[in-house]
Amino acid sequence: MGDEREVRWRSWMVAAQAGETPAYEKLLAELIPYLRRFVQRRLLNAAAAEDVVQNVLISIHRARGTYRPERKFSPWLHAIARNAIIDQTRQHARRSRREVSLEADGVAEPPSDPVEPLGQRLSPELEDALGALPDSQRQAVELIHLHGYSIAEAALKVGATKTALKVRAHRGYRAMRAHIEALRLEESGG
Amino acid sequence: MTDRSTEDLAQQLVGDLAPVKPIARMRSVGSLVVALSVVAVVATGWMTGNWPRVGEAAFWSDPIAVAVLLGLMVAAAGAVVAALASAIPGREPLARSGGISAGLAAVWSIGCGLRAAVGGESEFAASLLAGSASCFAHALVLAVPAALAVSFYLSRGAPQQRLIASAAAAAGAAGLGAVVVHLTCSAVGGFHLLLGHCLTPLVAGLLFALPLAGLVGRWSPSAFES
Repeated sequence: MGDEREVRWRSWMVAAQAGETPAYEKLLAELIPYLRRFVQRRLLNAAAAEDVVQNVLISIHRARGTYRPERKFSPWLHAIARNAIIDQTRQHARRSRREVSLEADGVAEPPSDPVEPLGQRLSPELEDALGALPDSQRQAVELIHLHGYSIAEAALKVGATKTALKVRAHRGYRAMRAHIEALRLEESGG
Repeated sequence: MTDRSTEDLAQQLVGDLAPVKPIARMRSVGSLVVALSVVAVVATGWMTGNWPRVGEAAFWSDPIAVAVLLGLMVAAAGAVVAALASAIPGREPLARSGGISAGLAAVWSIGCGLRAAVGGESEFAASLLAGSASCFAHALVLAVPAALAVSFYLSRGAPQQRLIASAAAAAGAAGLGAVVVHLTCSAVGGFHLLLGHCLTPLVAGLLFALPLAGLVGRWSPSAFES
């Protein structure tokens, strides 16, 4: 990293710690393309790379208090980016081993195109199941599976940790599955 | 992949910005941990009458006792450094060095304890276990202030592996306690040395990693103020 850029980023970060939004805005604007290159060199999947960049930005935001002004900025930034890449790689490995399709459980899986809102295309059965969820679980399921937010973005939106949001969503799926199974049992007269 | 751009997210983060105080220097927290340990030594010494035997020639003439002391000191310092450094992104090399030093020093002191146990008395009585448990408990009491201080620091930081960082915090704090206990305890016997002194950091690290990790999570400020 160039010395000039290092000095610039460090001063912006210090200003951001003091709550100066213009400096923070400039810092993030310069970091985004830099992080894209940094992450893409280490990850093959371009879509996943963009998710990692977003996670890095959120981590920078959350951990901004851990930057000490007398230390270099780049090792701090790179450590956060590397940790996000490791997290992504672990998550991907876990997902490919354990992910259970909602479809296999009798719940329609949301289509992969996240641009079109999916809420209008829900079956009555799913809508009913979703409506029966507690607010926090319904919000988690809607944000992630209906509106296409990443876990990190959804967590940011509701002001919860990523883990808490994942737990809420998981509980929501389970409750929906149980609700749908109970409905089907009723319909079949069981 | 999300339907929201990274630039939108950056704008959202800018909107969420609030002033934060930079995390305390590691050196300051390290000094605080040592100071808290000294206060704990003085407080328990005043209450129980057990003071470190630093001035006793008998202690320093026993090579195994001195070797164990050195091992415990390095293990405690290494584990505390590992825990503190793991709270700060970019300090992972220091955390690794601290962890490796602590591990090697723990192996060294356990090895010394084993050597004393094998070469010493062969009796393994219930009273021996009770005496060892008492030393272990004493070390834990002395460790409480340091463990709380390191955990608080971890809660302000961003440890990538919170459980491992908490295990290091527990081992380091218990190691500091074990150093004091080792200097205070006048009991003789290899098994007591091994069970009551040398194994303390390792056992405490295993036992208290999870509770401390919970504490760190509980103390962590909410990530987003809005």
